[in-house]
Amino acid sequence: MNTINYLNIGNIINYSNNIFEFNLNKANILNNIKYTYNINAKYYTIRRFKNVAGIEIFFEQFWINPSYIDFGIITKEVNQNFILQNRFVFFDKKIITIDKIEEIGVSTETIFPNILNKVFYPYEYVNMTLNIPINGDIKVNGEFIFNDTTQSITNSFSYSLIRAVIIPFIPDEYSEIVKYLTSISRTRTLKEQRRPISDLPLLEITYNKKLRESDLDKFINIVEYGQGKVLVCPITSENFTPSSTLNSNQIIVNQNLNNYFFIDYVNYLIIIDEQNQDNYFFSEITSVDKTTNTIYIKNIINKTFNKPIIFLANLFMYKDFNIEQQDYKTYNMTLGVSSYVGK
Amino acid sequence: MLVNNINTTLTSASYNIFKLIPTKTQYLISYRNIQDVVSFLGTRTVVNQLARKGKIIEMEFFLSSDVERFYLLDFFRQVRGNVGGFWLPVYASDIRFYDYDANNNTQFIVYHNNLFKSFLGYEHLVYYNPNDYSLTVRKIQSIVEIDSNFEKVILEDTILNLTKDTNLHKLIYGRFLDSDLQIQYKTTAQDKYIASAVLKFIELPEEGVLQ
Repeated sequence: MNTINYLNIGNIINYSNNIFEFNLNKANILNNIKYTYNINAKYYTIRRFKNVAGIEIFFEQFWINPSYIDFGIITKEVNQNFILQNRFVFFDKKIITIDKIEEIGVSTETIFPNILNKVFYPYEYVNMTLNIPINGDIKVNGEFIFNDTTQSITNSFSYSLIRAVIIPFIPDEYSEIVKYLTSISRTRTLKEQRRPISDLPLLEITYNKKLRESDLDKFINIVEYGQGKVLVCPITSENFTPSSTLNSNQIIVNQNLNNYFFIDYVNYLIIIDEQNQDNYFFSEITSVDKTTNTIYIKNIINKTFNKPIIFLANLFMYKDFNIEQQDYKTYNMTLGVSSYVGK
Repeated sequence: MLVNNINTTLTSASYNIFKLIPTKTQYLISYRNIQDVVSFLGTRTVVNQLARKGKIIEMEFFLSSDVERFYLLDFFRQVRGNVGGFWLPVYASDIRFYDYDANNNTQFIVYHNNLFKSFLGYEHLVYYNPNDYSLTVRKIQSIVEIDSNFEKVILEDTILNLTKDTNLHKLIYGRFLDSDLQIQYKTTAQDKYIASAVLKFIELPEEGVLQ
């Protein structure tokens, strides 16, 4: 993580039970333009009062920053840093003690071994590492006790990491936009000076698909769950057919891989059965051999396909989603996503 | 469709010719917007004498195979969107061959199309042979008007095997107008998609002279 920006009051997105969730203004921080981070922060206020102007002022706070991250954590174990901090306005004997920790979805010995019963003095913080396993979402629930000279209050907190959502489907029509960030200016003699800002292209894909009424719920659920998260979508212009049976961690394809553009950029692969598109397999690409047209993947394929199509895939940010009725029991779905591509 | 062989006398070490052949070409008459300067006293001074005019040309491409699609994407990556300049054959600028000059085989006569007026001085001549998908490139020295029916094109090197009613084209220097490349796919059937891209190019005469 490069920067953590502290929040201002104007960005409250959720307000209930003394828990304030804030959305950072600079929510999308591009780190080496490879992944898109979506960083929110959450703080738990213990006491608030109104000033003479009637404006609520929060002055006793416990922060978890960031509290919620969407990050490319699909098939790898990732160590994710985050911060717990006791942020008081007034330096008083206001102490927070972590009282209870519950870990959901955390596989091995990972977090919070040191902070149970830890005492946080004002402005004291702990920078911790959360080891994220390969499967499942992670949630950490806990309780902390706020100790004052006059009282002690117990409050609960939570910290969650949610995985990217895979959207495996074959669209009817689609369009790709490959975009390079560039800068064009003119000199005094009106000659152009042009330079690229990024070596990595931005890829935007818009998918269109005709839906029957029976497919409607499935796509609405997928996209509503994926809203605001990182989606793993197939790059549908880069598809292959296998020339051998799919039962190992290597795939030999019929196509000449030298002709494929995004294979140099992307890390992931989705195999979808064309006849039954609910049947899919997803894995990380470990290496590509262009001379033998072989793609090596991390996991062994454990599914059978009638008519498999192999798509390259990438992490995309959700952009827009629209379903409109076209005629009786037919719907038109449009899903737009965008991402920088690059290893 | 892709040009697969280029016979050229371009000598610059870094020459780069766009090889994809469009299905449709269209000139946009809106020339590059040259800035006007408003002086201190409010008088408007036009400064477009400093830069020569460059056309904006729109072309539509059908990408019928992976090879063509890969070529376009890779070319776009090489020039980094609208940053890098390259040579662009404009297949719409028709120069219709009439006859060789009897005295000099670097000169030939073409039908009158006001070429001598639009010639900026740096362009090349391109002959596309559809039989072997080859492109022949020669530098134009000058174009002069003979009468109301014919003009004479003077090249720096010879160009042979032209027949009557051959269409010749201009090769201009330019770049992509936009920093993004949009490809539309109509179907996803394996190896049967119909992909198309509409691209805009802008001519850069000042840089073409330097090449």
